Amino acid sequence: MKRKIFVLSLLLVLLVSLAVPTAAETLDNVTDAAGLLTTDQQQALERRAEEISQTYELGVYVIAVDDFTRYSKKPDIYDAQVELFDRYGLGLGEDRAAAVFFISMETREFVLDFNSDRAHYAFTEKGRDLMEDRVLPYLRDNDWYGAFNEFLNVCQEDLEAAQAGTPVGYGEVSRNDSQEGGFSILLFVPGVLAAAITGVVLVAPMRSAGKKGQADDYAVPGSMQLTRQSDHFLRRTVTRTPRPKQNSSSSSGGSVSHSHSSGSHSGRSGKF
Amino acid sequence: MPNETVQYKCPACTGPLHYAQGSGKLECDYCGSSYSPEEIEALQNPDAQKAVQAFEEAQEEQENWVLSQAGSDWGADEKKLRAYSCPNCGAELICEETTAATSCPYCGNPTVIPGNLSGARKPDYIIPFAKTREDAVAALKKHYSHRPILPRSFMKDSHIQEVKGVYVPFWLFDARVEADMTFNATRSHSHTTSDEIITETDHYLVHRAGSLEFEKVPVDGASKMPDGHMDAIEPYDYSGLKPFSMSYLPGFLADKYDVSREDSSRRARERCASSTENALRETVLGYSTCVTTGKHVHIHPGDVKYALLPVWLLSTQWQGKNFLFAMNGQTGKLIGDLPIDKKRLWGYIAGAFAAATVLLGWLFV
Repeated sequence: MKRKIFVLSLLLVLLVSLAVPTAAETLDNVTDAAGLLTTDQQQALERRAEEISQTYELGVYVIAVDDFTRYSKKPDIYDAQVELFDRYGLGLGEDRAAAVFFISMETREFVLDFNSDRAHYAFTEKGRDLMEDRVLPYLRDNDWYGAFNEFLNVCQEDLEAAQAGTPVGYGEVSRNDSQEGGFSILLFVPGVLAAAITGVVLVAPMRSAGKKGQADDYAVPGSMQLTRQSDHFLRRTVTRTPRPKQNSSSSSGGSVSHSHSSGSHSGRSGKF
Repeated sequence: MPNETVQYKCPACTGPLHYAQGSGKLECDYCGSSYSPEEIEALQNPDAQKAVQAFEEAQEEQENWVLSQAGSDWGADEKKLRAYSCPNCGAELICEETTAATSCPYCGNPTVIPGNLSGARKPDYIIPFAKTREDAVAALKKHYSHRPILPRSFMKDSHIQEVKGVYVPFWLFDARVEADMTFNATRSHSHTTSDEIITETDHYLVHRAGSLEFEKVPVDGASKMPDGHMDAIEPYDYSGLKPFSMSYLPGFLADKYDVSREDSSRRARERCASSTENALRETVLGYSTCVTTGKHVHIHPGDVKYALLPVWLLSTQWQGKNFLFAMNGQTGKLIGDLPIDKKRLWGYIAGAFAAATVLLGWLFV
C-alpha cells in the first residue's frame, strides 16, 4: 500500500512539474489578447516572428493585451511584462535571449524589452531609439498590424546587422545617453557662469565712460510726492503641474528606460 | 579776425597772474605775490583795460613775393576761428571761436579772450579747479593700475600727449516732473499635493501718480566734449559753486557754449523723466512681477543756469589710436575707456571656466 502511495505521489509531482513548461509553450510569438488583428494578420505575423526567432536563435515576441493589470499585480507595465516573460518562460537558448514588443490598450502603453547579453548586443540603445521612432507612429495611428510588422522588420534588420558584426547604432549616442549626459552638461554650468562673471568683472572697469540716462543725483531730497496710489485685484489664475514621479529610470522622448534588477532585462516603456 | 584779450597782471611787478587751485588765489610767477579773485576784480578798470589791451592792427608791408598766392581764403572756417595777439610776447595766435581762455604756446602766458564770449550769455556760476595737473596725472596712473587685461605695451608705449584743464560750459536745469503710471503686477504662491504642484497667481492693476523735483541737472553745452565723458565724471559738489568771475580762468582753457539751452534741455528732460518713472516704480512693493503698462509724464521746466565746471582732459596715443580721459576738476573722479588685451581676457575666462569645472567635478564626482 505504501509503495502505491509513493508511486502515485511521484506521478503527481511529475505531472505538476511538467504542467508549467506546457503552459509556457502555449504563448505564441505573436499573442493578440486584445483582439487587434484579424486571423490572417495574426498568422502572417506569427510565421514571420517564428522565422526570425529560429534564424537568429533569439525569441521575437509581440504581445497585445487589453489591460496589463489583469495579468499582473505589478503597477508598472514594464515590471508586469517582465513577470509575464518569466511566467511563460519566453526567450530562446540557455540565456533566454528575446526581444519583446508588449502593448496594453487600456492605458495605451508600450514596452520594448530585451533580455540577455546577445539581445543587448544586437539592440543597442541607439538602435532602440530608431526602433521606437519607426514603430510608434503606427501605434499612434492605431495601425496595429503595421506596428507589429514594423517591429519585426526592425528586429530582422538589427539581428542581421549584429550577426555581421556591426550592430545598428553601435558606438553612437542615444537619446538616453544624452539624457544621462545631462549631468555632464550641468557640470559645465558653474564653469560657464564663472567665466561670464570673470569676463564682466574684468571688462567693466575698462569701460568707464558712458552717457547717463537718469538724474537721480539731482533729485531734491524729500521732494517725492505720491498723489495717487491704488492696487486693484483683478483675477486669480491657478496652474496645476503634475509632480514628477520618483523613478530611478531615465526618461527620453516620451519613453522611460529600464534596467531590471531580477535578470538581464533592459528596455523602455512609454505611452503612445 | 582780430580779437581782444585780457591778461591779469601782478599789481606789484606787472608779471602775468594765473589761478592757483591749491590756494584759490591768483598768483604771480615772477614775484610770488598772490591775490584773491575779488581783489583783482576790484583793481581792474574795464575802460582802461580795454584801452591798454586794444588790438594793434598789423602793418601790411610791401613785399616782393607774390603774396596773392600765399594762403587762401578761410571760407566757411572763418566763422569758427578767432585770431588774437598775445599781450605778453605779441605772438599772433588763432583759436576756435568757442575758446574763452587759453595760454600762449610760445611764452605760456595765460590769457582770457573776452571777445569770444561776446554774443553768448555770461555764466552764472563757476566751480574753480580744486585738483591740480599733478593730481590728474597721478589719477590716470592709478586708473591704469590693477587692470589685468590692460595690454602691457599700453603701459610702456603710451605717453600722455596732453593734459588740459578746461572750464566746460554746462547748462544746469531745474525741473518738476509729474508722472502717472499703471502697472500689471502679480503675486504668486505655490503648494504641493501628493501628485500636483499648484501655483496660484493673483493679478493686480496698480496705479501710481506723483511728482519729483530736480535741481541743477547738468548737460554740457560744448559739442566737442563727448557726452559720455562729461556724464561719467558727474556729480559735482554744488556747494562749491561760486558766482562767475573771469579771474578764475587764467591758467586754464575755457570754452563758451555752442549747444543752446533749448537743444540741451532734451537730455535733461529724458534724464529727469527716467528717474521719476523709476521712483514711482519703486513704490510698487510686495509683488513678484511688475510690468509697466502705461505712463504719462509731464515736465514743468524751472530755472536754467549757465555754469563753467572744471575738467581735466588727458589724452594718450597708442598704436595710432587716441584715448581720452576726463577727470572731474573738483572731485578728482577720473574716467576713460582703456584698451583690452583680448588674448589675456580669453585666458582669464578660460581659466575661470576650467577652475570652476574642475572644482565642481572634484566635489561631486
